[in-house]
Amino acid sequence: MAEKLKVATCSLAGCFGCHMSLLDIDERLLELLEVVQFDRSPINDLKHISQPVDLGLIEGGVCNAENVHTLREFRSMCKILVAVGECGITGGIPSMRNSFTLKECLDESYIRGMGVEFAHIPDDPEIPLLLNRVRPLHHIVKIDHFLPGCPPSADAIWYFLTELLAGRDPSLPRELIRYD
Amino acid sequence: MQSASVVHPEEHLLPILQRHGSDPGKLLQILIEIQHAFHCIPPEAEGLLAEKLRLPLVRVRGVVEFYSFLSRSFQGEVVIHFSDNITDQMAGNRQLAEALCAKLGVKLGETRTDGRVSVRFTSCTGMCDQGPAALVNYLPLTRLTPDRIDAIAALVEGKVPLEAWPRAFFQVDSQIRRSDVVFRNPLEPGVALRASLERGGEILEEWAEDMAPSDARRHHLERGGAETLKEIYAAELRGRGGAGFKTGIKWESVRHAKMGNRYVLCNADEGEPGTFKDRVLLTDYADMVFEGMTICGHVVGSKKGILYVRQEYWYLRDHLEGVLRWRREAGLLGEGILKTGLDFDIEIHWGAGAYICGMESAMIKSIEGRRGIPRRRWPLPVHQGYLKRPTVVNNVETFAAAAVISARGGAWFAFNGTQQSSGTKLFCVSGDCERPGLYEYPWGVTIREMLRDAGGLDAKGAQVGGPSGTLVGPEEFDRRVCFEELSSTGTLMVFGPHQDIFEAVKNFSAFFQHESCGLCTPCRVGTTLLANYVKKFEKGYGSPVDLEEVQLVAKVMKTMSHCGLGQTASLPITDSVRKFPDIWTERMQTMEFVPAFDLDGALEEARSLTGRTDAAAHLTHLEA
Amino acid sequence: MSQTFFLDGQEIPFEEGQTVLQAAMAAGRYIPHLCYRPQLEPHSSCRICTVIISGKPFSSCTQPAMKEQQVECDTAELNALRRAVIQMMFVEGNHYCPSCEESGSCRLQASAYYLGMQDSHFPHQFPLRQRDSSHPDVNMDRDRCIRCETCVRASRDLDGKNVFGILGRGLNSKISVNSPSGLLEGSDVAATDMAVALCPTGCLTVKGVGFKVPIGLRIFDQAPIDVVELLEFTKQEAVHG
Repeated sequence: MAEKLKVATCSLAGCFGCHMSLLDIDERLLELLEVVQFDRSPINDLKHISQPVDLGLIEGGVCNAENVHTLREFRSMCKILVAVGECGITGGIPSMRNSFTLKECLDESYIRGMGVEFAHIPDDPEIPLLLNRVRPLHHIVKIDHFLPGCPPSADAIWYFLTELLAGRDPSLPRELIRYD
Repeated sequence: MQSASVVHPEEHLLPILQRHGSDPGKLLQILIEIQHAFHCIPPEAEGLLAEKLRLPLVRVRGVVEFYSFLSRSFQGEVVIHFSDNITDQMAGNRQLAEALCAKLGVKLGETRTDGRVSVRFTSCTGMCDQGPAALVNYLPLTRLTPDRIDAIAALVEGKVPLEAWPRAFFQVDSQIRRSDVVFRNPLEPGVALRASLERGGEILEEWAEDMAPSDARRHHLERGGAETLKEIYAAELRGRGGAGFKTGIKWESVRHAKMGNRYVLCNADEGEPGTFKDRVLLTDYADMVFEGMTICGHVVGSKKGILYVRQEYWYLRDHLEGVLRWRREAGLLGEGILKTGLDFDIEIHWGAGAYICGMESAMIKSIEGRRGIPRRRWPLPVHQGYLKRPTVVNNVETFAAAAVISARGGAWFAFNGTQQSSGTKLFCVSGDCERPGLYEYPWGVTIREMLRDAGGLDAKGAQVGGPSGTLVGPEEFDRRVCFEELSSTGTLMVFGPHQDIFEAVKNFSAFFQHESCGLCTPCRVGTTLLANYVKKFEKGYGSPVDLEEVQLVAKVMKTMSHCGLGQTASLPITDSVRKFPDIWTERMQTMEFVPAFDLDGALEEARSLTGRTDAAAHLTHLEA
Repeated sequence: MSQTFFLDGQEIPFEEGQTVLQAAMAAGRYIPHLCYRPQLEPHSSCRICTVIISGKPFSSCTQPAMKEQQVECDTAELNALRRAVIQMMFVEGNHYCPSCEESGSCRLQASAYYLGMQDSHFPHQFPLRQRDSSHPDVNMDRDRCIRCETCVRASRDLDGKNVFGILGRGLNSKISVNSPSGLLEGSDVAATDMAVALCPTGCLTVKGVGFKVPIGLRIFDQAPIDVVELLEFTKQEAVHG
């Protein structure tokens, strides 16, 4: 039996919805597990990618310094890196804050917003520092493929993965392309 | 001059409106006068113009915001625009502008708080052979030096009126370094026009007495026009503005157009950086240009010509109006020209800082008082041009050549040049050479010949035909400049051995970004994407991946853009990637893709908001 | 008998005065487009409808159909270029499809689907654009504007109002409103204006009706844009001949 392809997944500034959609491929997951072996992913709860993998799926945009580190590490470990979902591809919903300055955003959340007590912008070094703008993944690293949707449907994910794993061009047919 | 706060519409604005007959088509001309008077378009003026000219307010604002030399905010009593062509830059304009800003205590691009002065950059002002150049209140300053900058700062602070500034600061020289058969012996005014008219038969004495029947007059004009058209064909004259369309075909289309009220437009909006031949022609050969337009009026049956001049040449206004006046008095313009049935007059329209208006159809829009947006390709201007009437649009140099052809004959003209490019051509040579200026050569001249004559043979490269033309290296210096080989609007910018070609590419990409009209997507977005990629390489963040991206954007712009601006805007970049690859590769500090923006800088705002300085509050850029 | 030209080898009949795009659509051949609307004068600004004739690119919405002309249209190369132009539209504005009330009714989005766009490819510009919610019935979200000037033309030529215009130049050009404040409030705009109805994106929308049709049941959820546009074109032809 041929060695299984190694796959890892990762989520940055997003809602984890793309991962939920991956799990939504339901029993086809078993079929998938016949040919792939998961490294970092929601399936085994690894926090760091442990080895170089053939395929990385990453959702979410880049909103802070930690996202940058995670993305770079992930990129360096993945032979093929796929941006999954609107946030990863365009910045998505988190990037709606780009219409405001960071100061405006933090003031609203921590200084002047409704119900704020002990007004203070968090400055603990444990907390990742925010970038002035939320960025899509391709602004930071080279991305090999893009799988759109918010989230991509289970069918789109299944189609994409099976085509890619079979060594074919994983471009989606028109009816599977959605951005919402 | 009033500052923006004291505008009395009745007193200040109505006279300007009345002078232009409250014609909505004159909106741009009216706005230019208001701008010159107030150094802004005051809000009261927008409303008044909309009301009196019966135009939507948003359209008035749209015109104001389209042109670089119009502004809705007050620009200061003294407005200084530094020319920012690469030739100005190579001669130190950036340092001079910074020095002036420092002396005046004003930020570049902003009006000083006391309203006295503002300092800005503008696209090439057409003084490339005597730069670094600038405009002060729309009048040209040439040959700027640190000493002159000091003097200018003192004059501004001393509130010395412009009329009392040293004349030498404003001196513009024609610098015609080489003339050939066309421009060596300027024609006596009227000679070419008379030749054209006499091709219709002798101009009889009785016509002067207005006794000839109108049929006879008309036939005389038609015969003459037809014969002169034959000469234009025989000359194989092609447009000198760059595209090289056959002038005879254009004139004939309008001549045979079914509609009346035809127009002859002369394009003197030479905005292509590095180009200044129209400036010299309008200075020293204005009669020839006007005569060419009049002859065109004769050939195509038009009664009205319009000269559209870029505002950078505003200082020529009195001169040009004077020549027109003189020609009217001499019977060379107006009704019954040279006592024949020919009626033709010329008026002058001014641009207001928009390169795109050099594009034929954008110029027509601008003359109609609109935003200078290129219109759709069909119908062609020869069928529906200015005011939807059949219109000839030709370059200044083309009209001058037409006059010479009428005087000396098509065959004489066609004797010079190459198979597909007849006659001679004016070339504007600037940059790193000993003798910058204007050179007339027969088409087919090689770049090397021009460099030798101008004293720039040690060049490491040259830009032929301006930023939208071709960047060449020494291995191409023996190429001939003509339509069949290396076509050109007549511009040669020389880059000496010590120059960094990347700087030229950067300058040109910023130029196109600034001048894109915004109509079509590929150019509107593509020019910005390209300019940003150039900046990315400048910062050392460029990688091979980015170079592929640049090529992709270039391809999209070239194929998909609406007009020549977008189709050619990527050429300096793609030419340099091919011919000077080192300027790109030597800037690559990484083979891997890295962000175009400064990663650590993107944390600066958060650092200042949180006061954090720990290691985790920073990011390195080139870490793999 | 009418004359014909060839679109990707297919013979297309046309009447004198028809453009390549009109003749193709009338013959049931969709050519992607965004700024063209059958009710309006063509504008030639989006450039999506570009075709190749004798090796040269032309916008088919303005190019007159000519006898025996060979037109290349549905080629992989042209579709890739069209896709790139759409991607440019996505990165120059702020198009948050997941939160946009026009999602599923948006012609920009539907065209992107049609052209197989899976990513925005170019660097997003994240421009700061002013939104205008000043009017009681009509909303303007400039983040979604692609500067097709459909509203400018429709307001002028169909509504007879001149509510809209373009200010600025280049990438800084923006849609503006004919009122002293430049806001929709104080202009002649009405929710029933064709200018609002024809906006191809969610830039101009009528307030209060955005989610009447649920996501998933909207026009482009039910049929792709080529089918919808061809149908609309036939209807327009029937009305105006």
